[in-house]
Amino acid sequence: MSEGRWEPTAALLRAALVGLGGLVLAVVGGEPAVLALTAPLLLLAVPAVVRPRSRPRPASTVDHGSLREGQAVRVGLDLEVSEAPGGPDGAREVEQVTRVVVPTAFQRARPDGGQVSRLVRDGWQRSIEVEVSPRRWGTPVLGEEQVALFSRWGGWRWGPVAVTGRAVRVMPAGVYRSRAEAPRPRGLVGAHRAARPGSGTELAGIRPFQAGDRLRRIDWRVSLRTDELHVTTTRAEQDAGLLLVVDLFAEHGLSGGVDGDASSLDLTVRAAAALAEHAVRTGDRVALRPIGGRARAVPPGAGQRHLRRVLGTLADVRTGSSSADDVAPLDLRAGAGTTVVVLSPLLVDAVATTAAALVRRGLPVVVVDTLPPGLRPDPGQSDPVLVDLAWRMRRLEREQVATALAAIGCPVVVWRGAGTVDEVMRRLARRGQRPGVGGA
Amino acid sequence: MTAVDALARVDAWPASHRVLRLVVLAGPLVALACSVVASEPARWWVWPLVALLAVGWAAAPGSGVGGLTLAAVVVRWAQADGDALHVAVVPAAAALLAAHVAALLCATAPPGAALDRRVARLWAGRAAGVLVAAPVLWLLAGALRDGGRPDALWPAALAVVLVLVAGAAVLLAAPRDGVRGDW
Repeated sequence: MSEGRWEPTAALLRAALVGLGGLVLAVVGGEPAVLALTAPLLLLAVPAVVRPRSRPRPASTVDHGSLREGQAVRVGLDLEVSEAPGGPDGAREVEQVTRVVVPTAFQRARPDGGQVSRLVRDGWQRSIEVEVSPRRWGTPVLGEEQVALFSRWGGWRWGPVAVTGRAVRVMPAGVYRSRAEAPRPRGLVGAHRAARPGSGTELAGIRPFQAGDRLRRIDWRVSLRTDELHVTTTRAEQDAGLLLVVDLFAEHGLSGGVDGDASSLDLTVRAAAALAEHAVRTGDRVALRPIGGRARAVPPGAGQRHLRRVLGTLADVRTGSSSADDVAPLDLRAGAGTTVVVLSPLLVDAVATTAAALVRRGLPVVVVDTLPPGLRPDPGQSDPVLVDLAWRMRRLEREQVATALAAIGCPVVVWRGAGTVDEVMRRLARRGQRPGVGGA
Repeated sequence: MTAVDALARVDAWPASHRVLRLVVLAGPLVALACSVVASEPARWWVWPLVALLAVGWAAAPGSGVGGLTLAAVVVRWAQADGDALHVAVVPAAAALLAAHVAALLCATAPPGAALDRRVARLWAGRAAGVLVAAPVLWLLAGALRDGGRPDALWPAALAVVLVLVAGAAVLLAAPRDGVRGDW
């Protein structure tokens, strides 16, 4: 927070000078009308003229440390007033507080765009709260503002002083629900139907009783009809792993926040968040592997705490300038039973190379295309015809890459929100249950 | 700044700010018109001068233009020949006070925020309170004039009364225990 000091307001100077000038003019010039004209102004100036001696320290308070994009936090104002020795109660010297939230990209403030001015009276702290809503994932600083304080009768002003805000983690918003099975479930317990029989709940079949079968599995109706003991068999339920590979080489398109246009990075981050959330909700393990940018990898894990870690990492991602060649030898550490989802606008060949390498290892891989539909590059100072031609050629190359990936068994789907990968997951699950296919 | 920019700026103001700035603009002109009622018409250049200053004041209520605007009107009243205690001085004082308070409210509130009702009520009460001085002084001056006091004596007597009233205002404005709440 920057320091401020009490300075006379224009209103005080105006009222005092005009009021005193009118008084002198009236007495010297013998003009009673002038005295009646300016006396109200002088009366307003008199109680305002005493300079406050306290030193206020306004500070903003943000009531949440993390939230989802589109949600809002309340930004309050604390006013610590150091009193002058022997002076009046410093707090009582402040009559009015004015605050203006600094306008920032991807932030929306209410009321009136984060501009409020209120009297310092009972309940003023509640009345002067503003709501700030970050419109895009990330770690923005909320609550940065300019605060001005006014003394009694509007005579003196403290500030405006800059009040620093608080960095808040804004998680990407994404809703995703799917009923598709995981392609290669593995492990002892979980929510996914496995190919092998086990102690799950879904009926696999009915077969004659064998030594070692549990008695409670005997199907009495079939046994009576066939005069031979039969038991019902069920399929095991296993958990699955999900490895999210996010492409952070570059951001294509302009972001308009949660309720505007989405850039490729927006789509990548929101899709990854939605898939991670869905996987954790179904009890699966989730890992995150950013490539090409500045972000930390998150090892596999499950549960809400792990989900918060994944979402927090996604909120912090930044595109970077690392060379595309760095991706080729990447060891993504995707173990058996893991489904790999690569989220990328597919404009860097190394990403497709990585996906192809994973497919060759026998892992189920899905590429989610996060290039915004209808994206056109800004020609800037260049010839728009040439730029358009180059962009069309780049798109053709991209389509070739997508076709080549599909040909080796790596489906490429465009991100369309809920249900985007359902169909390809089902296909991969069916393929995984065929004998002789898959290495899991 | 072009006219389009200025209109866009005015359009961005909330309704309360537009009303306040209209009061800032109209107050000095109304006070000037009252002086015309009380005496002879003002010189031709006084009107555009005051209008120009009032426009500048309405555009920048926290600037020093406001003092010049008020001073121009007061000087015009001081120089006007005619009835020195015409009743038009009371509405003129009200107009100047309204412009001053409206400018104060504009300067203390952010330009994009609607005026808070409690702030408006507080200042309306204060303005009404101090405005009482204008008719009281006008009546007092009329009574002294009718009593045949010397010219230099009665303004001095009024000044003393005014200082006494101001002293009372200071006492009333002093902070008292228990007025404020949750500090």
